[in-house]
Amino acid sequence: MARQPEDTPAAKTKAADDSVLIRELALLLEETNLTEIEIERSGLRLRVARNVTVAATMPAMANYAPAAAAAPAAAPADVSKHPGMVPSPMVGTVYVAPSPGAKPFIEVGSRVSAGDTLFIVEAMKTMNQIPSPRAGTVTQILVEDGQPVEFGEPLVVIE
Amino acid sequence: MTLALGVRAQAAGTRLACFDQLGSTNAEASARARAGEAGPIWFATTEQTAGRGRRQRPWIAPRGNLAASLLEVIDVSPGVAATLGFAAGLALESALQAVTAQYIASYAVPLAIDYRLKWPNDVLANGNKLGGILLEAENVANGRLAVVVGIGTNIIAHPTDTPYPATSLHALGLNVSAEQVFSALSDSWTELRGLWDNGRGFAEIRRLWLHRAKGLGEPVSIRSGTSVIEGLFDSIDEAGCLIVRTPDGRRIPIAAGDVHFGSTASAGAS
Repeated sequence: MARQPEDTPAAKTKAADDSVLIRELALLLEETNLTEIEIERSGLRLRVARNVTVAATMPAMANYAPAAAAAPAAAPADVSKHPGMVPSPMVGTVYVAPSPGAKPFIEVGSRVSAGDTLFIVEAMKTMNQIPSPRAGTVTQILVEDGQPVEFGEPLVVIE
Repeated sequence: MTLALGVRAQAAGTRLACFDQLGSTNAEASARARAGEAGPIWFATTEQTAGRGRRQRPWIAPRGNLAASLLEVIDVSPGVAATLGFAAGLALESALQAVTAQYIASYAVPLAIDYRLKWPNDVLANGNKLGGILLEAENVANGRLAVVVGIGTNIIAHPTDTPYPATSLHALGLNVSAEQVFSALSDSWTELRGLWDNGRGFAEIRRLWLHRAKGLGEPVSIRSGTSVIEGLFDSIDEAGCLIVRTPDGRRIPIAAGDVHFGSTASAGAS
């Protein structure tokens, strides 16, 4: 806990601001799937990049989860542009039912109301209920139980 | 004795709803969130009859153990909310350290308990599971996120039929009550929740967490769904994912799964 020369209140505030900015950029990088973002403002130039080897997680994971790999491949290539597509709000593991072996939240043909739980996505032992953004009928389910999902990955189509 | 908040939790304006007996503190907190409760408020009991863990596994807690769930409605993304569990693990570990130090000072007993955090947020004592944490998040009105942080601690008893070894504070020789642990926990939570700062402070939380992590650099295997990944526990990343370094040199981030240390790690990693 030695006191550093730059450990002044002003320097600390600036360092904190910088760290918030870097963190925001890192999150943006993650959300947009870009590999690099560079910004420049008021004398500060920041470049945030990520290792593409790390970003290539999904193909690596697919080797370990053959069941999971089949589901997205079966979906039409343009499903991500479908107006009824519901994306995953986070990286994690998707579950189709409240507990293993229980009845799934939804099936193809299910009618859902806005706010109904469609899936649970788990990350870091946090169970996130994924609500339906609208009322409608489930026409496509694009994930398998226990499959890893990325941020923005299509989960389901509701029309 | 009855469950009561510590002085720092009270000063921060946190509330407490305590129950003589309750099915599940997480279920109660979620129901109250749906009814409009925004927190921060603890739901706590010393007898939880229908507790649950990950994937609805039962969490056994006879009278005398502590079940406490903190509800707070916050404006963060689900990905950021998932990092709150690390603050919760640190809060429980910190509370246990405080209670232990106080006990040793009061009774002059030679106790040596090594508390460690197991990814993502179990608390181990001398290698055995002492506490578990399960977070649940769901959208409530106005697109806000209701986050429930459920913390179960084995005070007087622990299960013996679990796939991992478990323990309790009493089994460790620490004759403290659920009330003492809860009071300390509510205070340390207030501190760590403040440090987490809606995810802005996760870098510091991560640093503190890694300092107390179980098994860093050791062989690890993670079962997630039908897949098992093996390698060395390298670190956790900025999102809280466990980074596994595989024998062929890849670093794979894991967001969810059952973690086993030192088990059937592959030959190349050992």
